[in-house]
Amino acid sequence: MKEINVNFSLADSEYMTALRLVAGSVLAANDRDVDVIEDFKVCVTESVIILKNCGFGRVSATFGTDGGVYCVVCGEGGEPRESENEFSLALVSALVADCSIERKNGVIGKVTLRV
Amino acid sequence: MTDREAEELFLKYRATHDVAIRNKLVENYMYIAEILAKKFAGRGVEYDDLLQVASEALISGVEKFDPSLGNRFTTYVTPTIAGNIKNYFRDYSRAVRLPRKIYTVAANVRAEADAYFAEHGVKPTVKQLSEALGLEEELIIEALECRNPVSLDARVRTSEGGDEVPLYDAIADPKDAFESFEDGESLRAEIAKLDPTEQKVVTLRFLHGKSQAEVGKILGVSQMFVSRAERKIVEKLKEALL
Repeated sequence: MKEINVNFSLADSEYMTALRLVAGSVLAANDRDVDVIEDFKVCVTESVIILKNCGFGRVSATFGTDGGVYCVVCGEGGEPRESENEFSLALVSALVADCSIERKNGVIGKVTLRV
Repeated sequence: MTDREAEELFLKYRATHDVAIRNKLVENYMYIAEILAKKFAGRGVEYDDLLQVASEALISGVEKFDPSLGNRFTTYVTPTIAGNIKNYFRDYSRAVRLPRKIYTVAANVRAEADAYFAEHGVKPTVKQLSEALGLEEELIIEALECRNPVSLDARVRTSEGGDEVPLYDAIADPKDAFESFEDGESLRAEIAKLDPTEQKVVTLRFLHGKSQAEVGKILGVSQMFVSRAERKIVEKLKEALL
């Protein structure tokens, strides 16, 4: 199993484009169609926004393949706190086949997406 | 030129479309274009370029203005000129983020994906697009990224080596009441007042660039519902911000 990790400071949102390009590349290598790629990129973006809203300072996104394609987005550092993310969560749930959210003390710290 | 004289000239221009009259009116109001161009200068775009954009908007404004509707020309044309300048900044910010060639490729990718869907009933993979267009897969992946509109929260660099700022800071002056509709903060505040479904429609349509049909699929409603909701949202925002 091969994995690619992207880790960047949430203070510099310029790297969101880099992250989205990696997401697109991983799915393209897995022969997914362009709609699946677009939906997955939206979910990766929303996952990062959720973690930013929750006060994390950095994000680590790990992409991998294991039959399907997955992306594990984790918050790091900063000052984590509870945050309202209802719409982002609804969107992520609607667009990927499988999504899991991990909370610690009520704060979302990890989002796993799978297609 | 007094307001009364200007109004008479506008009425005469609307009746005759005499270019000499139009030019006289443009000269009279050129100060507005100059003020607005100066106001937006120093943010990474040359004053002369901004003045040209502002002047074109002014000419267009003179040609379209109807004094019989009861508005003052300055009230009518100021947001129009400011809007055109902001559009120019939007194009400029896009131009510095990605080379223009990518947008051409993106248009070809969209067309090919649609053609493939029409023929096969499913969307193509990047590899299939690459083969059909004779382009490298890497370029296709980059071009797909161009399908997304730039968010007002996207960070842009307005001058070489300068600090990054949110796009809405680069294109809007929150102190100017004329520009309330294009002010990012005001717009976001009004969007926050929409009901949850409407907020979802705004986010999906304008932030994520989804089509009405795609939004309908995600929200479990028809494309017609999305279309009606979108029209209602725009009306609400116009009412609140104009």
